Amino acid sequence: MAKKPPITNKVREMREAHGGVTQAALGDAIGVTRQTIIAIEQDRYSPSLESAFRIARFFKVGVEDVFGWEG
Amino acid sequence: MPFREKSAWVMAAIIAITAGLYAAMVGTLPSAVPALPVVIGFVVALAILSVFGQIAIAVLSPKDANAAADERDRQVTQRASSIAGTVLTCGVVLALGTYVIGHGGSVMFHAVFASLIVAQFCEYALTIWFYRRGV
Repeated sequence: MAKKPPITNKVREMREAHGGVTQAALGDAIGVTRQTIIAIEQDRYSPSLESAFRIARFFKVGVEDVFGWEG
Repeated sequence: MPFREKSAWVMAAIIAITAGLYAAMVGTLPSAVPALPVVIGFVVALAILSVFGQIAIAVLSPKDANAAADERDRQVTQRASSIAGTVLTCGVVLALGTYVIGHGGSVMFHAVFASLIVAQFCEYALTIWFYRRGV
């Protein structure tokens, strides 16, 4: 079984807090597929640093407001 | 399900079916000599089924089919290809070993061909695994 990545995130909470942005809309905005957003939310994929910054910038918050480290 | 995972499922199924048929046909041949018509038949069947399989899933999800690979797709592909490459290398080395210990060129041919098929199947299986369980 694949090891769970040590990076946690609040992408789902952020989407809901920002008027229910869809996974597809967020994916389009940062340049990944809807499935990748789903994988990030389910902790099955840790995004690249660039995508992490893009997500944080999309929500107009800092990276550490969206992503955390539980390693 | 990501388009590339659907594609990997289709390709894994096609390879399993065509390779099974190929192995069954080769097994019934009177000698171990590689039969060119069977090899060509396998390759042509694989190519035709792959094209129709890919068209079918593209028709069912045209938007996903036209989307470029994103960072996760590339990471999955790279890891699956890397491991499949190692499988192929091991298979070829084993095939060369069969020749060295005196099994002849025919056995080596079949072993190399089997390595190609197994490595390709591994690549699709690993692609599915990484999409479902994480890269």
